[in-house]
Amino acid sequence: MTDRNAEVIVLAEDLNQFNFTRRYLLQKGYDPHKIHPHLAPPGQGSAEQYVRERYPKEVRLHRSRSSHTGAALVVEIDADMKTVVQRENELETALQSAGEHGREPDEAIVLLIPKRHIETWILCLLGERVDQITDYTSRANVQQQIRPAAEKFLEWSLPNYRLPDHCVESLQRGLREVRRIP
Amino acid sequence: MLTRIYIDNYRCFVNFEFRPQPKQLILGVNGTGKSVFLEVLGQLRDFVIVKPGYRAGELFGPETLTRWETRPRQSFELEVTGNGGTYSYTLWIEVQDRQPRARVIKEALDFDAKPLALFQEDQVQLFDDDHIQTANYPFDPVRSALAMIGPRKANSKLTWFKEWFERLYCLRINPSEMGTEAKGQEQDEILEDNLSNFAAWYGHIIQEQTHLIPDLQGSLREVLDGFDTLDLPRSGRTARVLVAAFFRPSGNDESAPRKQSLPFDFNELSDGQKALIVLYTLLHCAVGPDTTICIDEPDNYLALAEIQPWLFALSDRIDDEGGQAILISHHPELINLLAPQHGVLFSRTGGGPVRVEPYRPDALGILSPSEQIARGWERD
Repeated sequence: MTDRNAEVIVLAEDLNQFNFTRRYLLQKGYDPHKIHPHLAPPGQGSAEQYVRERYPKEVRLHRSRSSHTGAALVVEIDADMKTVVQRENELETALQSAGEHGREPDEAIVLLIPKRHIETWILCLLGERVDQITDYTSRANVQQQIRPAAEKFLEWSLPNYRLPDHCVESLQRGLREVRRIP
Repeated sequence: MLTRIYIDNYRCFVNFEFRPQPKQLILGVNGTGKSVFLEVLGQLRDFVIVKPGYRAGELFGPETLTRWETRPRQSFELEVTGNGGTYSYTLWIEVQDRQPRARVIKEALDFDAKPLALFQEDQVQLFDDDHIQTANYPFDPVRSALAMIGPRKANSKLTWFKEWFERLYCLRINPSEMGTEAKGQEQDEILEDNLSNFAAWYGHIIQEQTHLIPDLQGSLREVLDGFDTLDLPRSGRTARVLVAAFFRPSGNDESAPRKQSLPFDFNELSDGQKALIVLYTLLHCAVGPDTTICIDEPDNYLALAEIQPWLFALSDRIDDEGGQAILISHHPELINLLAPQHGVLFSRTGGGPVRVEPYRPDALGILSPSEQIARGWERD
């Protein structure tokens, strides 16, 4: 059962990514006061690089607190033109370079890696047949679609839920990942 | 939703045009007209709605003319989308020889570029919903003609626009000015800009929108430790007093049943508690479709941990239900969250007129928006 007092840190590239996870967590019953964003600063620099470099620090903080707060760390990073596995490996390398050991299976450290980006997942969750190559970032009204997409994400993440045929592979991985959240 | 505003010859605004978005954060250093912008919106609303008896000169006095201009005419234009179309409201005020008497030169309301009302040369032309002229009468040019037009079946479009004005909030939270008492049966439909009538406005909410109260109180229980209820009980024979009830402390035993709550007059609360109550009341009872809510520095008085949850709740509500929020803030937390997607920058050069431009993040991606603004590099 969800512990509403558990805190969740969301390390994300931008507000749309964060809002997707936040809406999902709210649906799941988390206290809005316990969901804290850490977003990459906007600009022309690489948000992906920022998340990757910040990741080991957040893992260290998470490991120091998780035993007494039931905390979770959610990391959101677009795969863009790379594969999801490549992104996971990059994050793993960043951890090891910082002297942190890799993720344990029972750790509440969640990697959400949409391919190509979070808009791909949002459209897919709302029933659209999408591919993981096309750039969907210019789609209108994305912000209004985040809530219904996050509701679907929760529904699809439930045990024994039969995923529809059009569910893209990165989303399937993401749905397995969120099982790490208490 | 307010989609365009034009201001000319009002304080530091000259030939100023701004197209606000549903969620908008106004940035800018001190003295760049951010608060005056809200003042203009409030003045226009007061002229048309709240204070229909007001003369133009009482709201648009000579002191509101731009100091370095010699023209006597002030111009205001609003564009508002809603009710299935686009409203355009125009108001020209003339202050003769900088005397306190100001007169309306033109006041016009169009819907999708077709007339609903036109007031000029001391004559009002009134049109019905099909834009057919239904009346033509002389009118005192020192008042708003729109203010005196009551709702009728045939002018539902015009009435909608006046109701939108009623749902335009231009607020600056100042807990010390907030009254705790609502006299007699007083229930204020319109919230004063300084929230001095918050108690009476809350009385109106309790009376007219009772269904909103449980969610509001639920939210307040989450943000205020020990909060129980917010109510407006009678105090004596003629007054009602805003009272926040908090549960009695249960000591260290968390499992002990909570006892009866203790009532506190609103003015006994801390400034931060008052601000939280106001912000969540606005969130639940004011924000909604066809509502524009403007708040000057909503983060004042709030603890750091309270800003984000309220801001996200506001953003959710607008995404889910519609409406518009225009915020002014210097707070780093708020700036970092809102500026990248929703920021606009007000600026003045050499004390000249206000200009507005979209906020541009640090080109190198090194500085956060608040760091960039703290260094004064936002216009580089």
